[in-house]
Amino acid sequence: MSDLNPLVLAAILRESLGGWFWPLVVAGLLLLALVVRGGAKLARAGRSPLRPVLAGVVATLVAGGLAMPLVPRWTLAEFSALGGAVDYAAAFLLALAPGAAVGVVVFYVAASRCAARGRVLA
Amino acid sequence: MLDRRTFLIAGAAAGLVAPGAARAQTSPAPARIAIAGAGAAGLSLASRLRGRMPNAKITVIDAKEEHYFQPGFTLVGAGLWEPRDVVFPNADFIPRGVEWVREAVAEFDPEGNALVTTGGRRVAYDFLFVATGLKLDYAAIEGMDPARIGQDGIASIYAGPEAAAASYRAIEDFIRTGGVGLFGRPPTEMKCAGAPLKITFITEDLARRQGRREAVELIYNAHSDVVFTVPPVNAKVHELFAARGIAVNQGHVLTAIDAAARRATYRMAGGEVTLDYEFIHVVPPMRAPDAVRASPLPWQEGALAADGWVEADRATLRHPRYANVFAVGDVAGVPRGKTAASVKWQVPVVVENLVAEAAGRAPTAAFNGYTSCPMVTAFGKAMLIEFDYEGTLTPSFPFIAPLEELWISWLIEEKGLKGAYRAMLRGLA
Repeated sequence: MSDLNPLVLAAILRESLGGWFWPLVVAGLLLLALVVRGGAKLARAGRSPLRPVLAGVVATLVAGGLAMPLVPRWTLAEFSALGGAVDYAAAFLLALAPGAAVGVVVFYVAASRCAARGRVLA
Repeated sequence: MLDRRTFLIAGAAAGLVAPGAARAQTSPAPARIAIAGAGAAGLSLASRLRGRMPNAKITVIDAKEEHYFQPGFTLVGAGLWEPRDVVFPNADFIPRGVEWVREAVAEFDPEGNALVTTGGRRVAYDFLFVATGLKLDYAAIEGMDPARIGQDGIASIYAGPEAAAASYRAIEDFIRTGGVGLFGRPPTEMKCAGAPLKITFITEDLARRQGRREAVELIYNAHSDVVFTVPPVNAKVHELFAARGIAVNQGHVLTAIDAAARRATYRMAGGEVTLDYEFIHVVPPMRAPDAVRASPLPWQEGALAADGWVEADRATLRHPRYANVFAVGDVAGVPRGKTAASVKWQVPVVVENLVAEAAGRAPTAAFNGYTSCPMVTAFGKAMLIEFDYEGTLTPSFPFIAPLEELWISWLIEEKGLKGAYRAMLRGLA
């Protein structure tokens, strides 16, 4: 597996996800667009991104933590199957995928509000 | 005098395409390449060769329309996957520009650089890749009929997706009724030597989960004095078997079963022994297909000769007597290596060496015998065991301990392998 590189990983993901691959790519791009748009709103309003980013990160971690017990189920296993530290780490990292989607939405909402307040104050 | 193959290589070397060190080299040689078999090795070879030798005439010969993802048979046998999860149309993986002859190989003629199909078609080649896979020799076990899998307490996940599903039903019946369950492996070389152990672990775990562990007695009949040929893995499996109350018999080779009486006969060093059972998981002896065995290609002497495995250098997979013949996958007469994981590393080696040779360079790529077995030890747990010809453990991921039962190894088995396998068939991984 020493030849694992981004192209190989993309090919494996494409084959693993089958028909879900392109919808998920589109969803990922939409989330990326939300991040860019939220950042642009903050920049236009001259507001610091610190609070919206923090809100997004916290939301990602919380949502990831909540999703983590479901990850073993996704592999047809039970939560009790997690044994070593590497299992918990892997499950949490996988749970961060849906967590990040929640986090991006929270960031965007927070950035929009923050930018709107900035405009009102200005 | 130059033969056609030498001429092609010399001519191609003059027009070699070398786009850059970072990219794989290609060869413009208009060679005729025959690939016997459209299994994991055959399709992967076709994909890689198509990309690396764009002017070659590549012909794949195989009658099978369906491709089986055999590493998934264990999960079908565990009742987790459906048979449809492990069946793909072969047509989806034949690369564009590759001819697919939908017939089996009837005869190999390496002296004449040709093979003959069951339909009588003669396919001439400059290079031949023998990737026929192997033959499951159920007939070598007296009284064993693959049609009975799923009935009379007989299971065998090797026989195909439906047989694997029928095996799960047989396991469920056995756990419900209780009694003695027999497991084991054949004395021949075999594909995925971990699978007989996996199905033993799965049966034990299912019985425990259903509160029926006390009702079943599980016995693993090893054909030799070990249950796995890699010493640390053997020790670990023995440890797990002991902890789970699975008995191990050594030196038991299954020779016959009486399905009606549910009795199995084993050959031992000192004679025969007959064991009664309520359930038996049969793993048949495995040999090269008949067309290969009847050809001059197999080893002529040594441990790999009896079952007709194709003679091949273990590092280059090249035939020592027929320099334009390579053996890849299950049929290759090399130690170990009858897994999709081995194919994943064998194919780039033979393709790289062929392209190098076509470029006038010395072929230097070598296969180290890498093979891998995500050894399922319970539902949700596996050990990611990887090793080479020498039996040295060669873990790919430093954070995954090979002899530890982990969910992350199960994750790779349940979610990762199929995608990686399909990407391999397309020459992308």
